[in-house]
Amino acid sequence: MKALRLTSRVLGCLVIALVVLELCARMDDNVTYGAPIIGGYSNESLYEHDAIGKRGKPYGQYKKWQLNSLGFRGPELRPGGTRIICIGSSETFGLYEKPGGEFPRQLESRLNHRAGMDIFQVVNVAYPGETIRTSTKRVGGIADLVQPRFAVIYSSPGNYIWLPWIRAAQANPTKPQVERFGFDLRIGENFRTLAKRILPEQVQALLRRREIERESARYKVMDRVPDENISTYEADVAALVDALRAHGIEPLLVTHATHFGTNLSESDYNLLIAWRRFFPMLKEEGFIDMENRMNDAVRRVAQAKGVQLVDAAHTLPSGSKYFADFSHFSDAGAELIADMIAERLESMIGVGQVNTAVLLNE
Amino acid sequence: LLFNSLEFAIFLPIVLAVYFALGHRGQNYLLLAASLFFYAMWDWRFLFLLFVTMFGDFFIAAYLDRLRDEGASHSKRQWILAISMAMNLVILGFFKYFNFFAESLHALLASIGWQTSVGTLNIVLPVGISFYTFQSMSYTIDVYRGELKACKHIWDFALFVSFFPHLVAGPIMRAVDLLPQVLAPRNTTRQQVLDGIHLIVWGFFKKVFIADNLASIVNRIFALQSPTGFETFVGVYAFAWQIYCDFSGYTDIARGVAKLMGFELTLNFNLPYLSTSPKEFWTRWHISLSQWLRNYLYIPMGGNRGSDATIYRNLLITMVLGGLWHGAAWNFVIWGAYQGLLLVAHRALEKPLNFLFNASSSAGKALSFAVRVLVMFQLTCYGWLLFRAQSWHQIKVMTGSLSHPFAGFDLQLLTQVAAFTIPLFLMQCWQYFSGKLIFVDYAWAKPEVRVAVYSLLFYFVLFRAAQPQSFIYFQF
Repeated sequence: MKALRLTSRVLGCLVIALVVLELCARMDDNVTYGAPIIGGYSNESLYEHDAIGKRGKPYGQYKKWQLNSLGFRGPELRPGGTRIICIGSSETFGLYEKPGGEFPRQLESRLNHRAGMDIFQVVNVAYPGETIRTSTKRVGGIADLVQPRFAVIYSSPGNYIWLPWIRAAQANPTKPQVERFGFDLRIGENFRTLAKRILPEQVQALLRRREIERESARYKVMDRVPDENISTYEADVAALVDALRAHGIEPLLVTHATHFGTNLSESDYNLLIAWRRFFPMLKEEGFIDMENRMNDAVRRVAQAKGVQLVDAAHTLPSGSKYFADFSHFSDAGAELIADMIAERLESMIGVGQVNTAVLLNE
Repeated sequence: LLFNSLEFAIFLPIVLAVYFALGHRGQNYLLLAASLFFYAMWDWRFLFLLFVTMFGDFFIAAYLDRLRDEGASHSKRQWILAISMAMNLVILGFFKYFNFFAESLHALLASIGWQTSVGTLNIVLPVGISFYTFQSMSYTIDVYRGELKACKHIWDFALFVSFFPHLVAGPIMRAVDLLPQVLAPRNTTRQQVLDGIHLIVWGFFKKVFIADNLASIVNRIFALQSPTGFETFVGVYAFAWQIYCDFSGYTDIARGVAKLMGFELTLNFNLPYLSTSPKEFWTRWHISLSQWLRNYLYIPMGGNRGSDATIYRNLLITMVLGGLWHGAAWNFVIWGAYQGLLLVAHRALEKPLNFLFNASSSAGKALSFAVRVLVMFQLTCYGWLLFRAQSWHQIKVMTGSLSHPFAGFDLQLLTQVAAFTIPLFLMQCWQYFSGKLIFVDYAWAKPEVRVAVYSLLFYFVLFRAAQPQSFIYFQF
């Protein structure tokens, strides 16, 4: 009887702790981000699904990420000026950078700084997980809404590691990729983030490896990405270039840069494990090979179509100074890639040489 | 091992689990091993210095005890004590002050046109050296004075010096207080467990949530070339609370951890910013250091005996050396001198001040108290400016900016600092007037209430912490 009373008391205390922590998390989200205290709050609140697939929800907001009335990350469009869209996935949308530090925002400020006036608007039309194929389908709509003159394409080739996912998304565009339950413990997300911050790299790698082992049982694990995937990716990039040009938008292709240099350290390998968590069907060694081949595909498209190319994979230094994880930029990385793109765009636009009045009138 | 690290969160439960499975002797050996491991995690090479201090003082104290029993002459015993003092002070002086004195000498000689090549050494300051050296010295002095019998067991004495909760940042325990706890079997009481948990949670909250968040504001302001008057005021106020929460947070955790093992460490902070005079401040701030300085420096110099001039001299010397104890830099010396001058001024003006602030009505008393606390807080804060400044130039620039307190008024900055400090200050007022230093009253708070309060505090510790910072007093 005494043991039962003690057990129920301990359980009661645990429940109280959980309730208090959850309440704190909700109050904290409310005060910091204006999140609702009651109801769900996750990154899914940033998106909606239409006939093409996932897109940004107008005025969507989750933590530091805020979307404008068109459902794009960044400020509202201003009338006039020259508009440039940035197409891509999470690297372009921005994950780890401070708000306003994602590379499209930095690109805009660099271009305007060089021009000496606010004549450029860079519109970030990317979403995490967006494929080149869905971007192509959206070109028409974006062209009507934004009326851009240039497009920066920084695609994430990882989305083409497993083609069945692309086909499934195409077959069921309105179905969210992640099913969510009605009620989530927000404190759980906080603990996950905390664990990522404080757990030693080796422990995190071990936990991820276990998860990968469990997940990979559902797939035929590959040593390297099949040639079919590379050619599909190449065809999709080429199709995007064509679609943009059909709408009078001049593309600029950027190869995909990653954290990894030529020699892999133990820490690099742990990052490959972190990457594999999202694609358990591909062995760690296959990611570097996939990157090289996909980037070659982008270079081929650029050459074949006469598209300007920023070879970030070749020029951007590897390492944790510029990358917050395997492929997403740190503030410094976003700054550097924005510089590289700005330099190439300036040569395309002719900033400083072109009559700025022409740009203003556009 | 930092208290606010994952490694310590693993280390402590393991030590506690084994501790409670052992008998008294086993517990002492375990704690000694754990303490040496704790210290070796910083830099194992400095264990050697710790051993020199521990073994040196153990044998010297034993010899002093024997000489006393044998009725040896006073001067002989004095010589033996001097050997212990020299050993400790040479180690401390070399590792902490060699470069400071070498550079100061070089600068002094250069100022009179005598160019020298006084070399400096690449010396790493061993963590906690000032704390454990003072503690070990106090033991030898107490044995010399006959206030304490020398410890018979070397490993128990080693544990007294190196006991990990207070090894690197105090409180500085007198041997008469801690050694008996080491020597006698301990039984952790329920009250000690409750108090211990409370102190640990509250200490983490003060350190990780308040001090570390204020640190980012303070660091930014003290990095400015020419801060506005408003920035200086806010920066100094923020630092006052940062250093308080940082140091008292560490002490709370240390005391809490010690309580879990049945030890009682001395109270080191007692609402210092509610002091009404410099004298009272030093009975509330870093109490263990104040008492050490009083017992082993101020009183042996003559203390309050003699003429006013002698007392003032004693106060000034004690506080300047107290300032220098904090660090090998001139700003600490200036800070110590400033504190000494405050004590001297207060002593000289005590009667007129008491007359001035004498009130008979309760409203008058409250007003008098509020004014004195406010004035003392401003004086303390100016001391923190001297303490935190990186150079004499910075002291001059920041002091100059104080004449325009509202220049560069920044409401956002003020709100940020106020959000961290005002609730704590109000709570301290409640603690002061209620006379309860532990704010969760165990008489009425059921376990469920305490769990709720601690969960709330832990939320801020875990999820609202700033970039983790090392404890400020580790550098001393």
